[in-house]
Amino acid sequence: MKLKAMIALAGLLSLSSASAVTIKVFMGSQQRPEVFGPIFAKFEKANPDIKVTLETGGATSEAQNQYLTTVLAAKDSSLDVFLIDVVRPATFAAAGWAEPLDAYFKGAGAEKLFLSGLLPGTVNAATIGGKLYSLPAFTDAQFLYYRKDLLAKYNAKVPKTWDELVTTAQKITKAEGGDLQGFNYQGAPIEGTVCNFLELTWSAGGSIDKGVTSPEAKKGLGFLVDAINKYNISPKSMAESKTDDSRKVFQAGKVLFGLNWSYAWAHFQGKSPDPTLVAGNVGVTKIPVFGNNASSTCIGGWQWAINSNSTQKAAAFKLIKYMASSDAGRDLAVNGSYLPARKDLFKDAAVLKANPHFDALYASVIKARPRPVSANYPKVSEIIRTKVNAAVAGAKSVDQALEEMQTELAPLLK
Amino acid sequence: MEPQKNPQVAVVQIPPPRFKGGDLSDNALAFWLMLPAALLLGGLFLYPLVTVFWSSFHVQKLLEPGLGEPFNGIKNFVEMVGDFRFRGALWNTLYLGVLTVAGSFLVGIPIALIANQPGRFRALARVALLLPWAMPPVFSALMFAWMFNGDYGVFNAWLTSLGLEAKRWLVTPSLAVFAFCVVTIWKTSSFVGLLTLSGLQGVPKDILEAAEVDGASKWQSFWRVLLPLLAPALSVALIFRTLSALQVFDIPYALTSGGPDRALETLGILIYRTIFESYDFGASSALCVTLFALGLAITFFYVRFVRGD
Repeated sequence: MKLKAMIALAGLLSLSSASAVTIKVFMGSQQRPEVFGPIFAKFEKANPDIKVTLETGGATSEAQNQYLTTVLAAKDSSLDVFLIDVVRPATFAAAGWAEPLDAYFKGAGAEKLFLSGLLPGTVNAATIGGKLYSLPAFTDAQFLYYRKDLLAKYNAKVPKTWDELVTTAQKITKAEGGDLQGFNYQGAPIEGTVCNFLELTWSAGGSIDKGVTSPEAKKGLGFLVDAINKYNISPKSMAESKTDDSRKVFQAGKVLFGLNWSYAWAHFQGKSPDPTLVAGNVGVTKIPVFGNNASSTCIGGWQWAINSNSTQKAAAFKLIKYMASSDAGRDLAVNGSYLPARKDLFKDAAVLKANPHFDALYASVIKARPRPVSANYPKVSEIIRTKVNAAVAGAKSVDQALEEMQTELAPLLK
Repeated sequence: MEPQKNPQVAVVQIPPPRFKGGDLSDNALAFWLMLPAALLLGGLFLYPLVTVFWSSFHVQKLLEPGLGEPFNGIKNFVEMVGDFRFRGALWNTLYLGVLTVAGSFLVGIPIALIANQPGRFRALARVALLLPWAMPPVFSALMFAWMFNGDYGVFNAWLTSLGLEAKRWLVTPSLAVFAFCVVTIWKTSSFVGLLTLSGLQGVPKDILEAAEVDGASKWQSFWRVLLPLLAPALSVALIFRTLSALQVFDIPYALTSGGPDRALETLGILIYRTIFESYDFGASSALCVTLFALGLAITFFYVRFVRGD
């Protein structure tokens, strides 16, 4: 009798373990796993045959990437799904670490339909050689933050062009005096600097696919340098300015116009370890342009990909498809203020109630463009930020910096 | 007094060792005793070394798995020599090495001399010897990075309080080289100082007294008597300092990530970038082998030079 019960129990156990699949997910500890946890739980509830376990690590994009590189280069199948920086899918595709996702969409037109709901920039960043390698978890972009109170005080408009920005910044900094910066951006050799350079070049109507010695690129980088030396609206410290430095100076009330990512908003409004002097007085808008060109911004954010050596790819796909759905995106936006990758969420009542400023950001994110999609992106980025920084610091002329950048980039961006 | 009785002493019978090692010859015993250390060294030192040599002659690009890992002859080395980044990093490594090694001797030896003198500065000099040496390099570099910061750094605060113009230390190439030398000399003089101090304490007093009696000036007795006696300690310091200067990675990486405009990009940093930014293990192994050969050559030269002296 006892024996029979044990056999039955063993049978049950083996049955349940055969039907339940466990998906192991890796994400960075700085991506706030506590916001993602409840969404995984929701998915598990809807899919009782799939369990999700979470592994976190690496405080920076680089540290996480080093860990994943080691695991994936060893063809380890223990991780099924991972969250990667939006600049990485090309590397993961080239190395064969990420599984192409196209075949997992079932039914004619299913993939097109699913992707059409996403912001185009998030899909472009994940498409390499015509194949899709990742799905967006959330997006990000750079915007122009401005001081509503100062603009109102001097009866000035929100600038649409760089020329307007210079005029307004000169007028207001002169009148205010003190150490108010007219225009703040990132010029240290970091990723934000790559984005600032691209945004300025794009807003001159250029693109770096055609090389970086174009008149547009010269105009773009030239503006960042002139802002310091010619227009006197940016301090010399721009060459040492990192993303979070920019955020802190703005938050301390010392900046009129500043370029930054979406995370800065919450800090400015008071959700921040640092005191804020600008709560309620901050506006956010599209990045200005030269003349009549179209404004565009650099896309950021993180994406979900599947380990090509995973033994449970079908279940893994089910999970990441859910994580890229409006349902999951809404939870991330409401509970974590993450900028959604799905278009419909920018009109979603719950999302806008928690983040009223998202409405103003939509015009930017819908046109957000990826940084160069290259398997060797880390090297591409290193070259761009090094040379932009040299020009901003005044160690090289704009022409010289761009010529050196061109020589070094040419073999990588062919 | 009663004669003491022979106390009953329990004789403990020591059983012959059951362990077979007791029958081993000296050579065999030595073999077994050294085996763990040999395995550990072989695993942690020899295996990676051999792997790096192997990789340096093969194609090993993580981003192009389709290439496989065929034998590549000396192509990795040919491409390396043709790359301006390599030539730049080699030059940086060598001249920064000369500057910082020389600097650490110029600062380290006087501190050791003070620390060896009985006097009021002795305690201070000993702290100066130990403190920078005990600090982790990355910590030291980050600490100085704040001091050299253009906006909040203490050095610019001093400059402006003297009425001078603030400098952009870490984003101006020549000034960044200066900043790097300051950090490295501050950090490594202790090592030279400690070795010199240990050498000084081995110098017999009577020789110096004899020199004094014979009328040698302080400078003469330092230059003609003390320094030759310190030569063995100093040459050890020189070899170790040179090798660590060649391999330098932590301080320039933490200070400016090798910038500005690659002014502080050393071979160590280039190796790191080739692995973690380009995922090219073949090319980075060629760089490693080159650095290894450079270190070996310099050590060989020094040892010959010291022996010949």
